[in-house]
Amino acid sequence: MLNTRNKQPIKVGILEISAQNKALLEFFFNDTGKSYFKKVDSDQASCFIIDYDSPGAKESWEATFKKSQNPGIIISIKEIDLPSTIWVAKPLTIKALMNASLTIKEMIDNKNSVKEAVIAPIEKKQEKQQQEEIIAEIPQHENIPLKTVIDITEKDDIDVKNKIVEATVQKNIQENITTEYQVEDETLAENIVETIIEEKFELVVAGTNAAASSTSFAVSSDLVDVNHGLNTSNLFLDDGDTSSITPIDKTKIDNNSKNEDDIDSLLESLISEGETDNSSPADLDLAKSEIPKVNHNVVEVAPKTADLEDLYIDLKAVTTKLENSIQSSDELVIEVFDHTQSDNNTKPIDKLIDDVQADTNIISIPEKKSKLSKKSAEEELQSLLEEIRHEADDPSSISKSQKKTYLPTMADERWKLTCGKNKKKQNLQSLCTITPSEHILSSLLETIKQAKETKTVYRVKFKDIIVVIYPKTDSIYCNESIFSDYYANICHTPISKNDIKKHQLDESEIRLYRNKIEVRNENSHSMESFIWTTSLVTHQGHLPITTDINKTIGLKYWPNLTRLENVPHAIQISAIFHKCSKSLSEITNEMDIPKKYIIAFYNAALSLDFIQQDGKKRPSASTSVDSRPNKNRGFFSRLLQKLST
Amino acid sequence: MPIQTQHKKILFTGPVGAGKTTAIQTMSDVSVMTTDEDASDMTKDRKSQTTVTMDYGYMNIGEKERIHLYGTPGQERFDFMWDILKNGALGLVLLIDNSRKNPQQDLKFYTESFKDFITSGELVIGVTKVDESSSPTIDDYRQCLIELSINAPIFSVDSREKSDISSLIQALLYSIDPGVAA
Repeated sequence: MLNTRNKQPIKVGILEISAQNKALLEFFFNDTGKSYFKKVDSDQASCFIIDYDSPGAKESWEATFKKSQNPGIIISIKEIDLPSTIWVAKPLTIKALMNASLTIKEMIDNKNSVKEAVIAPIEKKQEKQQQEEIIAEIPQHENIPLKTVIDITEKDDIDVKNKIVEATVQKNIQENITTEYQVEDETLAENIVETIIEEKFELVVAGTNAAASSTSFAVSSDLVDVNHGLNTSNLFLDDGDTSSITPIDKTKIDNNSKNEDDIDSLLESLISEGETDNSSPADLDLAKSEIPKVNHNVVEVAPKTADLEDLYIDLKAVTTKLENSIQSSDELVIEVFDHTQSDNNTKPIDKLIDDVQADTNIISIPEKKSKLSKKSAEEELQSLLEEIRHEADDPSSISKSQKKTYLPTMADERWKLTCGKNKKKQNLQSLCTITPSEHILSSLLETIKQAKETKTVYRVKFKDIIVVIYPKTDSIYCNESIFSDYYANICHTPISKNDIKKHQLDESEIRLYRNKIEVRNENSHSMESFIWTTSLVTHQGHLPITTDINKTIGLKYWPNLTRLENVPHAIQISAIFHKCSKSLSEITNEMDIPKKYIIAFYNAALSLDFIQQDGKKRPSASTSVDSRPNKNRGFFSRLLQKLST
Repeated sequence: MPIQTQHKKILFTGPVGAGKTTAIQTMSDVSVMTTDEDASDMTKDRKSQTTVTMDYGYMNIGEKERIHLYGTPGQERFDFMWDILKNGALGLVLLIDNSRKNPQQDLKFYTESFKDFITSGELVIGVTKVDESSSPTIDDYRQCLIELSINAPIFSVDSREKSDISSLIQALLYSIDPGVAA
């Protein structure tokens, strides 16, 4: 059906998703994907995107789907096969998201059509009646004059135009009007048309019957509707050599060219031929010069007496030609009949042709341009996404010139919070400002220690923050997101110990919280991860007031860095702390890593009790290991560079 | 004209089903050459096919350099391959399957088997399938390593996640040379 295609972006709601993927999606939605998706609240969404690898995503999707029955795009590293979903593999790519948009659109349309069929059968019936009435209005002629169609469509809006065109085409099919060309099987014709669309060939409809004063038309693949063969309303004139077959650049066409707006604009243009033509001759000349193929001499291609409105397109002929054309080559000739017998010669053909030529500018050139610009936009977006990923891994690797123009990512903002904003040349001693006992962290660490020793579950409450410590499973439940600014603020602000309430939980209470964890799995953390993040947001780039920056230190164990909140350069800092017996002061001075990251790492490792205060005692420690930065260590440097990108 | 390629290699080892082949596939720039055969012994309870000789992939570093990634067969009866493969390796990535019956025993077994290599080269340990079995914890492994007098980086990893395996390799490289700058 040639109903005006809904060009509105798909309303999408984002469910559980990692911060990085969320940032990527939002970037996509605001840029290249703007025409495909529009991010909305979940209650307005017609589909959802969910990161199935996120904790609690499965439950969230089940609940959402149960409630809305809307389809979803599932992002995951492994294939997920669920009803009404599309799986998009990580890492996300523009292409995958665009492809997903097409599939999800179909799903939404299917869903809506089912809904419509159930809810409004009466409306459908009325629509059908309207169609029948429209068909009845059309003169009972073997072939339907385009003028008739145009006249009718002038009266109504675009939807009605489409209905008429559809009706016209349907009539052509139903009545099997054609006598000269017959297609035995309509399905075959549809298949041919479909094949052509798929292979992205532009069809050239050129008049073959020069003697019989036929006119040639070029038809882009936009014009062919899979369901109905050919949209007669969307034709534009081709080269004057009516017997020639114009070769077409395949690259001109892409799926986006199946744009019914173009069809509508051309149809409108054809309609407007009955009205005053406002195009200046200069404009038209320019249009002609821009499209050499359309540099058309009316005299050469069609009888001067003929009007476009009297041109008839025989669908059967078209499909037959299509069939023959596909068999012989990539080019196609579709014959257009000139019905000179018509008495309705109300408009000179020159003018009509000019109109159509002008329309070819509307269709062809922007199409080419938009494809080019789209391609370049996609490339640009891909490179930007690469930058974002790179930045998320290692902000220091960005060159100074990039830094000037680089917009801070979510990761940057988070690192400002967790690692502080201290300057490179800031004295280390001046950063020793945190009194641990004045922060909730010390109470939490104390309670965790107690819980581990007694192997009992503890609950700590401060203001509206509730923390439940499970020593057996080495996990911690917190009712507030530990990655929120609110939690950071609570942790960083000095408090009175009296405001903290803690007690051992009994079996019934444990069960209660276990149920909560099952529902809100994202609020459950490994002890290491919880302490690490809490320490980062507590210190925010400052050191405990008691820190001896000149004391030799070392690392007892490597933190489980793959499952902890990211601190830039954490792996290298771990290696240096682990391998070298040096003081904090020496390490910060020697390493070519911003001080704030070393301090953040030190604080978090200290809270985890991973810091050996006398580093020389450790078996792996060595003072001879070279921790000085050296950018020219050849192979390793290059390999690390590859790994970090 | 032949390309002068600098050869360095990293060896992936660990028990059957720990994710060695997957880890190499995740990092390799080319399709991994595997020598998988249908499992015939108790291995088939865990997976249908298993590596019998080795897995091989590589990462290109620029035009002339390459890091080769070798995976050992998991089954002990192919341990003759371990000695062949470890020769000249830059470091060892040991993957432990946390869902096995006694993964700490696996850790002990493999660190013992590669003892000579570990004393001269570097070791990093990745614990896989933590989502299937949360016990033992990383902390339990740390205690186990202290008993074995080994102080190596140990991370929870998913062999399918490039960032995880990349972190393991980075830890290996920084352990060899902490001052190296990317």
